[in-house]
Amino acid sequence: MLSALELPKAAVLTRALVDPVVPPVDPVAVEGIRARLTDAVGRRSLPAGRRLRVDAFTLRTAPLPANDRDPGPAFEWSPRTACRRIGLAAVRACVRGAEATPTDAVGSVVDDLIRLGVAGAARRGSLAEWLGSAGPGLVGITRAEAVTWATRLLTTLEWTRLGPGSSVGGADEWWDHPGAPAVCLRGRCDVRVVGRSTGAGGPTGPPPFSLVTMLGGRPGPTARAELGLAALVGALGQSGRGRPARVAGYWPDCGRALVLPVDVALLEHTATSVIGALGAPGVNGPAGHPAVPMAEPPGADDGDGEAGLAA
Amino acid sequence: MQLRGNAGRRRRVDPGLAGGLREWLEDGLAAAANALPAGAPPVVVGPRSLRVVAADPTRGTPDLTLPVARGALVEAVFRLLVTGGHVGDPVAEAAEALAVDRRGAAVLAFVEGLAPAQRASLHAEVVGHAAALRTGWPTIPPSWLPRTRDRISVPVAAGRVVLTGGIDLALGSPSAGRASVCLVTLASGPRHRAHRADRHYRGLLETLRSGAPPARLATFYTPPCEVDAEDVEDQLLAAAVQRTIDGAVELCRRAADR
Repeated sequence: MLSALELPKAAVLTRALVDPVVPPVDPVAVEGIRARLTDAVGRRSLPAGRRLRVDAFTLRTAPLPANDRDPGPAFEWSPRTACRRIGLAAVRACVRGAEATPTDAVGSVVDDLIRLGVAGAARRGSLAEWLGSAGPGLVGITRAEAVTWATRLLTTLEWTRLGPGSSVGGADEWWDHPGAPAVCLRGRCDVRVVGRSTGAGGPTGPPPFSLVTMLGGRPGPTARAELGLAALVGALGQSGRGRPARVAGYWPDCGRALVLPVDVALLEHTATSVIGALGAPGVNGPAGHPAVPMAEPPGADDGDGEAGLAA
Repeated sequence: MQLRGNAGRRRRVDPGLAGGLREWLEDGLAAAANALPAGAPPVVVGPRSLRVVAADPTRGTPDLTLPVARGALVEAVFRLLVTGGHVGDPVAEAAEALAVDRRGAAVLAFVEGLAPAQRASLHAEVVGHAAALRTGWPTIPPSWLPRTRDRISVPVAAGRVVLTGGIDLALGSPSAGRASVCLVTLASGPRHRAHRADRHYRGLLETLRSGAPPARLATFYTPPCEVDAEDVEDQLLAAAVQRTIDGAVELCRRAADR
């Protein structure tokens, strides 16, 4: 946990992310974790045709008694669920210099989405379609939530100190269990921070990077595993985007930040939490009970795939 | 100017201040928090519960009332105005904005349950507040980084007590060594001495969260569109700590008795 008192906070967090990198994880250990995870998932029985997604929400709620796990409704757009997507696009625009402030940037993003939705050019179920059909009060409150979200993220880091190749948003990391049942792990991050030093591969190797996620509320007992999930999915390596050197969480509600080096201990801990969550009663239990509610469905975006910071 | 104060007079942040305030809180709450039953959910302390406990230690937090419903509707109008710059039909747009979360939906259900004359009177009030905001609220430059409903949630006593509060409007970038943020609370009712204590509590929360005290604290009254604003001094935060300890200890005691 970073010091809650040292100022400016953005400098402290940025420094922790771009500091010389931690040693790489032994590939043999990663293969051991992969084998353990594959074996544990393979033992899990799921109703035919069901697909179980494990993400940070699953890890956070799995230790709770089954009755206390509020699955919530199936995913639907709302100001709360929309603000991250709009906010990421807005922060990207600000960091690039295309927009001066979060208010301006969010305004442009929302206006573009509404245009798309009103023109009937948006995908069914997309954010643009939802905004295009929303009334002015709903659009206005979505804008307000997104401005608050974007301002928080924009003031979290010192962007000019990040190395080239750093990016805001971008696609989530996925790891699909190679056999049956259909279980996939989803790792999410808001900012990919590339350090300026060279990575484990020496001067010619890829630069090390860290994954930063902004979260609501305050860190709970499962925070380490929640952050480790993105590292684990990266380490299992289907995306080809490599393994992060660090994962970091920032909780603006309470001002806390947690930066973790990605090492075998973190990956083992996260894999154990995933296996535990898969075994928790009620996780994907009764038919029709969504395993991971309130999660944005893949492909629900509007082509907002570009993530790099370069102009 | 009232909201941001004199930039040249903003104080340097004492690096030990936030830590000292936290230690004071931890010491003051330790015994009451330790008396909570093992495994009990955290005691959540907010400005409303503190106000109620301070006014009458035997009372619980009140349910929805007409002023609370009016406050929620006016706050929604305020958010729409600050972020988007305009509001067409304030009642309809505020209702749309409130319908998206559980608390807002409860407010709307309460309003729906009012007698027609009461509901019409409330709607007329909201229209009046919106008109006052349109003319009396200053245009905030986006460069001040205005963000509405900024939530704060600070765990203390090993998470057994959680201090919470919402900031109706925060202005200014985070501190880089000098106090820089202004917190604005919206009040849709008449002036009350509790408003001062409320904004001091929010100033304390911001200090604990960010490590730096805010530069200014303000309450905006609509109507008559007047601002009570003050610079943040150490004594103000110290009084807020003591009041928070007093209220939180009482709330812990009630939780332990349940």
